[in-house]
Amino acid sequence: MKRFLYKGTLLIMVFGLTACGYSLDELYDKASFNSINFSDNYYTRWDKNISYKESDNKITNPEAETIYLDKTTDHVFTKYGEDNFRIVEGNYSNYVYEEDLSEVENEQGKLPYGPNNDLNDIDNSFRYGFMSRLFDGQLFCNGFYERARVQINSDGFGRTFPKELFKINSTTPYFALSFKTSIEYRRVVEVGGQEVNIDIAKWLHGNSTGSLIHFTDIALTINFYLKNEDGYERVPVYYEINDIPCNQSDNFSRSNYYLFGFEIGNSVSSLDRCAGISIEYSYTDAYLDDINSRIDVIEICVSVRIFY
Amino acid sequence: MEMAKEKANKRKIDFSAFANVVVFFTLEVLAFIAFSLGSSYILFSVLSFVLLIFLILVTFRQIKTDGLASFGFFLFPIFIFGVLSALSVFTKDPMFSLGGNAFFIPIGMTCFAACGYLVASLKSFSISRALLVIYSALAILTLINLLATMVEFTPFYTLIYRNKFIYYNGDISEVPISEMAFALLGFSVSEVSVEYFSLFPSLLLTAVIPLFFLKFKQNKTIFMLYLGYSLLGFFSLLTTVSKTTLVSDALMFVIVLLVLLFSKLNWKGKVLKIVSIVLGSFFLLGLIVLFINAQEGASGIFVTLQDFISGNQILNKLFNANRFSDSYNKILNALLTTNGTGDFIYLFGFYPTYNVPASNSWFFDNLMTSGIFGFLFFAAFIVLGVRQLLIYYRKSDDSMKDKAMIVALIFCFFSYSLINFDMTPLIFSKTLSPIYLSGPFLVALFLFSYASFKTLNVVPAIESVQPLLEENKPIENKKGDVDNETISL
Repeated sequence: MKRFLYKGTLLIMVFGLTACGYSLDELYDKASFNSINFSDNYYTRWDKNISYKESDNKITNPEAETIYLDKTTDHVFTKYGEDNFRIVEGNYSNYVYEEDLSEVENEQGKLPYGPNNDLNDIDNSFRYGFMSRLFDGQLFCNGFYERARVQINSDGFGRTFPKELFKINSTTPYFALSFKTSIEYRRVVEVGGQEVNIDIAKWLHGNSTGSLIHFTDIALTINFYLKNEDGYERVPVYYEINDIPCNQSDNFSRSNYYLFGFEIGNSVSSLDRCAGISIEYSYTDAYLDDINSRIDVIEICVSVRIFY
Repeated sequence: MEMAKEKANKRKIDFSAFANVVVFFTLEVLAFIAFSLGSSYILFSVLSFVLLIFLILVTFRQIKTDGLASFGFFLFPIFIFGVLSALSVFTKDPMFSLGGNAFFIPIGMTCFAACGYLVASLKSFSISRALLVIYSALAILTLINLLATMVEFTPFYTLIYRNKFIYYNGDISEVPISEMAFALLGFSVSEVSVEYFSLFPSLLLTAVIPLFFLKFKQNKTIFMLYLGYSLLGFFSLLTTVSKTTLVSDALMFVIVLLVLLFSKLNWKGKVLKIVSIVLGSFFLLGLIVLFINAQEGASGIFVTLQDFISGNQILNKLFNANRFSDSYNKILNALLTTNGTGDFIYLFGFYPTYNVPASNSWFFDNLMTSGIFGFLFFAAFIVLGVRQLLIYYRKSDDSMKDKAMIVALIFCFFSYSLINFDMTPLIFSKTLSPIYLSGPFLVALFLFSYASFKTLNVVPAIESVQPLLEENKPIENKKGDVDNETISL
């Protein structure tokens, strides 16, 4: 009987050891990232292993040289209908770039672009976690204001992937990122113990109608992290996009979305074994500078697509 | 003369010599189905069908035809239930797990139930071993599920992370992780509801029963196995205990205790009858009141009763204001829904919808999955089955340990499923898998049929078949008798 008790205790200890809690790494409240205050919705997580600004990381080339993309040689595109995009996307004319929630072809026999090129369908492991929002094929926020898919400030985020990415077919590999920009348009502040909803535009202009529509310049820095035996090789990529419409939040017109991307195989020779990504940005915004003393937040609403 | 000899020789060619092989095959199929591998009902059906053919070949010369007729009468309601379920509107739902193969429904359940009856007629079949096989399969499944859940979560996560959600496929999960667990479905581990996860450890709790009948010194291995199984069940339920399963956990303990009490005190006669009648009457009365209370837009005595219930705090809590009754009421109310021309539109089953969701109870969900007539046939089968089971418990020459285990296993399964059977076990899929497609249900049918054979055939079974092992000689049913079991299968 004693032997059994010992064995039983051992078994319970084994169960205890198995309690790894792999799925407890990312837990959220039901209404997470859906606050009425834009500044509460920023996704800011940086995984320790690829946190290149910190000293305690697993990056094997800390002094990695930034790759400045060239519009011509790297076939950089910033719009859905751009020539460079048509060049790198071999099936360009077979896709429709407006519907993005269904995988089924439309009446013209065209397939929605996002849902038919998403990582979530390629491997189930990409379905888990907040990052799955970047991999589910939905290119547009499809909602109002705070219901952005992934919202980042200029410090961005950095996450590792559950699996490594490889080029597996002969088609041209490219990276693509769908996004739009906005500065803070609404804020809830507490005045005298009561929550007050401030419409920034109205407050700024001092009248009942106000608009924050303007143009901004964005400089994107995207780091790819390629897995190797000792950790991760950082591949930083930089590109500037000027005159991006800002705060044109008409959710039913998707004309203000930007599709940024480039061909892999030129300046960026390969992204094989890519197992992480970080996205940051800086901005030049005269309009915002003008009101910066009063409004101190800018955000970018992104929906990232990775094709590889 | 030679012709007569040839005829005699021909008569001697039978398949009963393969009885041991078929018994072994039966145990294999039983283990496979109890293990619920992938809830693959089509595979279960094919296996059951093949096994039934083998059993017919082996037993058709010896089996008593009068018993067969009675068994046919017993089996008839479940066959009709299967047919009506297959024809139900419910099976047309795109999320129905069998898709266009609904015709397998009556095949699987009828064949496997018949297997239980036929195999019981073979002397080499030992119910003690069959139960050990069932419990072992359940234990392996529970162990895998528990390990998978603990690897992903942590003990007592259901209490610690009650309002925490995960993101899946770009969206926040519909339920918090406290309502999730991991389970082996097919050859992959998936997120399932805690209700589905808890079903198997709940059934394992009944493994505590043989511990009160076996003597440790004489049956060390068996004793330790059952002790391990029951501890595994208890540990699984304990580490995943939640508000959702607390009621069913408590119910399982009560049933196990009651079965132990009855079997140890040898209450077989009046006490058993009285308790059965009282519980049955309460259930029936409660059901009638629930049905009347659920009818919206009713008039006359229905309204009077509804007002009385809503005016009484306890009755209102019992029939209206609890998480169970709300979904039951919706299904019962939907049952009498008519269209513009006054036709009842939900009599032959219906899809679960947002307004009328599945109730997590086989009793009420059967109205949805099989229609009112399917429900009635199923109810008839259950009544007949329970009656046979109680007769088996009182009169069979099986050991009290085995009888108590069979009764407890069946009662625990149907009681658990009465309040917590999740028809959509997968968290991130709406695949519909009603109770009649589940492995434990088929095992319960098998045991019902076994009990039916033992009830209908009180005379010792076939003499011509050689016993599998020496120790399989008929056991005298004496009070306090102890099995001398080994596990040399």
